[in-house]
Parts: sequence; structure tokens; C-alpha cells
Amino acid sequence: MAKKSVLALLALVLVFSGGCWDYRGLNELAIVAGMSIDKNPESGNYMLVFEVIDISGDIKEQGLQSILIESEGNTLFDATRNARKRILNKLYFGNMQTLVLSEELARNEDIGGIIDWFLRSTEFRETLAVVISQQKTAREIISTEGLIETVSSLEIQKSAKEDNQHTSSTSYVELYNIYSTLKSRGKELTLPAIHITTNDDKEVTELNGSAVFKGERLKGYLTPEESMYYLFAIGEVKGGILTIPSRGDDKDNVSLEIAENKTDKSFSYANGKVTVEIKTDTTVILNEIDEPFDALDIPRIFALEVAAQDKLEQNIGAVVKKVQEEYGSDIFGFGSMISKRDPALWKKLSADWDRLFTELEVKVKPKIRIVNSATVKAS
Amino acid sequence: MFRFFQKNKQKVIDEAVGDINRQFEGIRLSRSLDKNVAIIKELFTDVDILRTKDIHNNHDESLKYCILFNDGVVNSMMINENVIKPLMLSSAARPGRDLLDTVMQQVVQIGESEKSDSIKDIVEALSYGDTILFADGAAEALILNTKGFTLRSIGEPDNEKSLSGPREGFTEALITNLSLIRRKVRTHALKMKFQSFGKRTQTQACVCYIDGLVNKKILDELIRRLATIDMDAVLDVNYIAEQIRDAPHSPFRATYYTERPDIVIAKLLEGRIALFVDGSPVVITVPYLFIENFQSTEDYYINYWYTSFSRSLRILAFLLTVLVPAFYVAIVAYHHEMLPTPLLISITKERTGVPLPAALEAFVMLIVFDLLRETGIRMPTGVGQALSIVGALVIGQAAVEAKLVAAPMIIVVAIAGITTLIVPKLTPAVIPIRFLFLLLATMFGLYGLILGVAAVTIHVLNLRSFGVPQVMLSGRLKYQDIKDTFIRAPWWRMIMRPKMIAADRPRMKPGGGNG
Repeated sequence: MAKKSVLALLALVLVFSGGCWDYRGLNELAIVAGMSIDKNPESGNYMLVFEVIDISGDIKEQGLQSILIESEGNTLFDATRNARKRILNKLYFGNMQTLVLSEELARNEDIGGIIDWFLRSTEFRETLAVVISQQKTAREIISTEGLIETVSSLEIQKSAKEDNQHTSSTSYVELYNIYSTLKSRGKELTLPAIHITTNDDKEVTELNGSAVFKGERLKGYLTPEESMYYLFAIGEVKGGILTIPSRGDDKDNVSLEIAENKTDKSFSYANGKVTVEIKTDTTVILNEIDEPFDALDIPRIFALEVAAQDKLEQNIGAVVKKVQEEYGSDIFGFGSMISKRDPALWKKLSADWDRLFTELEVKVKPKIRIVNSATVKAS
Repeated sequence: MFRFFQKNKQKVIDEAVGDINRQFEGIRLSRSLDKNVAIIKELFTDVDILRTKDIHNNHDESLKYCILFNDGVVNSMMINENVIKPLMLSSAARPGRDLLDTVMQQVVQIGESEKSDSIKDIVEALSYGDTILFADGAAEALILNTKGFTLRSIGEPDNEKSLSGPREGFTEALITNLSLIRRKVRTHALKMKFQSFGKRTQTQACVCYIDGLVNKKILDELIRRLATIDMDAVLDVNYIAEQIRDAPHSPFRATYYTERPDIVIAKLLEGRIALFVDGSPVVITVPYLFIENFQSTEDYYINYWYTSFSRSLRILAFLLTVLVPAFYVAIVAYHHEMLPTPLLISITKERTGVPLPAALEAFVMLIVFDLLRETGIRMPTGVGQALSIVGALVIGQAAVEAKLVAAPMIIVVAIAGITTLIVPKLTPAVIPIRFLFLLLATMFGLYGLILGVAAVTIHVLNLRSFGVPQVMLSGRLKYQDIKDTFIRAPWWRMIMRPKMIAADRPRMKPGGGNG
């Protein structure tokens, strides 16, 4: 009995000697919503700006506010620790949503080296959004207030993430996918590009197409419109508006809302030349047309479908061509498709893939189906 | 040293118990009426409610009797009319060897009477409202059942109210309680076996079961365990329940308890055994399955869709009540990244400026809640208003406004507190488990919480009640096995009785009902 109670007591001591290891009170934390990375042109140091949620204000009345904390250091981690000199609480990154990189940084430094810390450190979410600032610095983006969410980091992440359901104007890649894309052969990286524009006399951030990488460096951009056709080509379109002309001229006057899209890619290889075929099968809803339209007029609908297919064929082709000619970067993942379907062939082609990619021929075979249209009737 | 004390203690106990039994040794009834009466009077010295009355027969002056009874526990009308009057007037009795037999058979008009020469029996009977009749020249006594005491009337039990279904409840009288059962199960197969417990109180208890439905092994086990009980006094059924249960140190129940006859009958019909104890309106039934914690009075009297929903709610409530405070503390103290950003922000905002860390806050608030709960039970009903004002305003609102406690913690404690009340049968288990989980979560975060959950789950899976596992884990889920668990199947579908108790005795032919 005595022995037992001594043993039990000792066991209890063991429990308590753990002493709440890693216990962190919430009130000891500064919640970082997002951060931006620039490079100091003179010293070559990293210049970070952290957007930290301000919990001192009245959230109910003023909405969520944020404060910006700047710091500088030799490495990213060094710079982050330097921020502790200015702020009492520990910077907490577990809920960080957005990382803004400046264009300059993306062009001149390996992006893999930059995001290395974000993957290696335990706190960061691997789903955070990495965006490229088209402004002079990344700081400008993060210091601009969002329209709905005053904390711009939250707004940027949300709009980038949901973009392919609404406008399909950029390509959102989560942090962990960036790394795996960088390390895989036959597929190059794209990231959302973001710039500042004016809205109601105020500066706001806006998604502005995609940033195209080759290897680890930024090469250039796709416009928002090109981005949509790029998403068509890689099969990531989930929504967005396709506008087409119906009168035979160049003026688009019909809106088709993309409801569903499926993209199939295949390739053939002959005489040292790769031909890729992109088949898209898209279900759309006719949502807007500025002239009389009869939903039961099958030939008319058929004509609209053909017009949409033509437009898709042209534009997807044009995007591929632009990327081939200007950037020479296989962002469509043609290479990885070949490596998956015919590893032996890929072994042969991979060494010379950069050249082969710029020379490959692309055939686009779109299929559009208008499944739904509202009936507007005079009563 | 410990052992020495234990031995010594055992000796003291043996002596004390022996004293109770030895009291009557060596005392014998004699043929002298005066001596017999003197013996009883000696035993009942200072018991001023003892009444004695000498009676002489009108026809034969030599016939002398004396009756003894305790005032207040007898029906005096009965004694006057059916005992004293015939004794005085009857001419049937003759002095002689079989005087008492004649009196018993031809004179006194009492339904239940017996002859005894055991002082122990006489004392017991006298204390319980029987009348003792001594006759001059007989070395025995007649024990006449003249019990009559004031009892609470049958009413609906306060803590087991139901909206539909019978509104009867047990009272403190054993016989009345048995009558409530007897009346509804009109078969000879309903068995009621008496046994008395408590050397001083001599409390009557009754083991009740339905022959043909009961599992004989379980019945034998119950009777074996009852035989081992050796205690001074039994004032409530829990005195016995605690001694016959499996896993005596577990906070979980091992016997069902109820004050409602309809539930007891339903349990008997499921092949269970009921134990009634005189003086307690609570009846226990065994064996006990874990799911009985979640079954409620009127589950069987209302629509089965509704019942199934509320059953699931009760199970959810149990999980919430033990897990919510621990989970909250684990998340807030260790795993912030599990919170969605907006929630993290609002909790952080509420927590800034609060002096105590979340874990300590949880402990304090849970104890405060338990204090309120306990006060609510113990206080006189008249001051209920004061408690709700103090509870709701002071503890809730004022504490938050004064920034002593964070608002999310109040919500967490309120959820934990309210959900405790939904499963009253589990309250004794919930409170220690909740604190255990909270402690583990404080020390080790979710890791500790999961360890705690695993430990409690293993414990629950190991629980047995009279050889029957309280939770049955079968390899695959069969409809028949879950018909009365987190759902309740309609009556015509509940063909089989509970699997582990009386599986081989179906309730009805399959395919019944009009559905």
C-alpha cells in the first residue's frame, strides 16, 4: 500500500515535470496575417513587412485593423527575429495567409531559396498564398487596405484562392505545390500577379494575371484574359465568363458563364517533333445576350456554340504560342504529361526539352455546350 | 505496521458484530406469561412506545394473554377488533398444550400469523409493526401482522418526470412497491424473493425477476453476491448496489436505478433482475449496459424518430461535456493553427487583458459551475431566485465585463455544464473525467487529451455488470444490435430482447406490425 502510493506520487511528478511544454497563451502572440519580402538595393539585406492583426481596437465597430511591422536582416529568419526588437509579443505565423514577393526579387533570386524557410519552419501553413507584386515593391501591396477585409493579406489570399471559380484570371498555387512544381521536371511554375489600381479614388489591390517562371526565376506575365485560356489549357477553370460575338463582327455581345470544364491532353511524337492535342469539353450557361433570342432555336444555339469554340481554339493557341515564343517555359506541363504516359520517351526527350517545347505543335479541339439559358418573355 | 493496524481493526469489528448476534443467546421463553413479558420489556427498556395489554377471557378466567406492540407502527383498529375482542369473547380456546394453535386458528382474526419461540424473530417483528401475543402456559409467542404506518402516497417521481406514459412512482414501502409491479405483470412467473439485510436495521429486500426470461447464471451470481453482504444497517438501495457492483472503483454506474414501476417492469421483461429495498423508493436493476445511461423514461412512449434523435443528442451531449473544456484549452494553449483565422482573432481579442491563463481559467470556472450546481441541489427551494441571479449575472456577465474571465471560456463552461444535466446517470463519471481530460490537455495539449480519451475508452470497454460486458464490440454492425442504442427502432421491429441478457427469448414473431 505504502509502496503503491509512493509509486503513484512519483508518476504524478513525472506528469507535472513536463510543465506545460510549448504552452503559449494566445494573448502572448502577435497574429501575422501576411508578409512581404523586398530586397534592400544598397545593402542586399531582406526587408520584411509583417501585417499583424491589431486586437487592441474595437473589432465590432471599426472592423479588423492591422498594423505593419518592418524589419531588416541578412536572412529571412534573422530579419524576423529583428522584428522582436520592436514588438513585445512573439510573431505567430500559424495563421498567415499571404506572402507577397517583389518582382525584382522574383526576377533576380531563386524563388526556391526564398520559400525554403517557409517550408522548413514548423509554423507556416503550407497552404498560404504566394503572390508576385507588379508594383515597385512588395511592401506597397501589403500596405494597401483591402476593400471588404481591411486586412489586405486576408483579402488577397481569399480572392486569389477563389479566383478560378469566378473570373479565372490568375493561377493560384499553394506553398507546398510551389516547391513540388519547382522540383518536378516538365512543368514550370506560375503564380498570381497582383498590382495596385484605383477604385473610387482609393488605391486598391487587384489580381492581374499570372507570373510566369522558368526554372526558379520570373520571366514575365500573362494578362488576366490570357490567364483564363491558360487555365483552360491546364484544366483548372471552374468558372468565369466567356464572351463571344453573335453578329459576325468582332464585338463580343454574348456572355457565357462557365459551369464546368474538363480538359484532356494527349501527345504524339514523330520525326523528332512533338504534337500536343488539347481537348476541352466545357458546359456553359448563356447568361446575357443583347438581341432577341429564342432558347428553343437549336440552329441559333449551335451557331453560338461554334462561335465560342472558335474563340477558345484561337485564344488557347495564342497563349501557348506566346509562352513558347516569349518565355520558353513549359507552364502547361506538357513535359510532365509525357513523362507520366511514356517514361522511356521522356528520358530521350528531357535533355532537349527546352528546345522541343518551343517547337512543339499544339492542336486545340474545344467543345462547348450551352445547357441553360434564361427565358425572357414579355408578358 | 499497516498490517498490524488492519488486524487490530478487524478484531474490533468482529467483536462489535458478534455483540449484536449474541444479545439473544441464552434467553429462552418460559411457560410463565409474566416472565415472558418481562423478558421483552427488559429488551425494550427505554422504548416508551412499547405498549402491553393483559387480556382475560370472559368464559374462562384461567386463560390469560398479553399482547405487546409498538405504538404508531400498528393499526390499532385491527388490534382492537381482530385480536383483543375475539380473545376476550371467544369460547373456543381451552388451556392446554395446543392453546396457541387454537388461538391462532380459531380465535384471532388476522390474515398473517405465525408461532415462534425465537427472541430474535419476536424482536424483529415487534419493531416492524407486528403484535406479539403471549399466552399463559405457552413457551412460544404468536406473531400477528398488524402493521399499519403512515406512508407517502404514490405520486410521480420528481426527478424522473415524463410527458407521456404512466405517472406512478415508488414509495418507501416495500409491499406497496411490489404491488405496483404485481398489478401490471399478471403471471405466476413473476418471482419475488425476500431477503433481509443489516444486523441492526433488519431491512427487507426483494429480488424480483420473471422466470423464463431471466438468465439463470446472472441470477445465481446476484444471489451469491447478496449473500456476501454483511453490514450493520441498510438505509437505501445504494448501500447494497455499491457492494454488489462490478469494478467498485469505477465512476461509471454498474446498476440501473429508477423510481418508476413502468421502467422496472420493462427491465424485468428484458430479462433483467430488480432489487427492491424497504425504505427506499429507488429500485435497481441488473445487469446494466452502458447504453442504459442514455435511455430515458419516455423513449418507448413516443415516436421513434423523435426518440432516435434525442438518443443521439444525449450521446453527443456526453461527449461534449467531457471533451469541450479540454479541447478548448488544448487548442488555445497549444494548437492555435487549428483555429480558423477569424475565430483565432476573436478569441485572442477576448483573451487579452485576462489575468489567468486559459487552463487555470477553465479549472476555476468549472469548479464555480459545480459549486452553483451543487448549491442548486442543496439549497431550500425558496431561495432559487437568488442563485440564478448570482449565477447568471455575477459569474457570467460581470466577470466578463470586469475582464476576470474571457467570454469564450464562459461559453465553453456553459456548454459543458448544460450538457452534464442531459445525462444525469453519467454525472458521477463526467465530473472526474472532465477534470482528468482538462489536466491532460493542459499538460500535453491534444496529445494528452487523446491519451486520456483512449484510457477512458479502454476502461468503458472493460466494464462489466454481472458478467455481461457493458459495451459490446462486435466485428460488424448489425441492424439487430443497434435497434435500441443510439436509435430506437419501432416497437414491431424490436423482435429480440437485449443480446447479452436474453437473446434466446424473442419478444414476438418476426414480421409483426402493420409497417
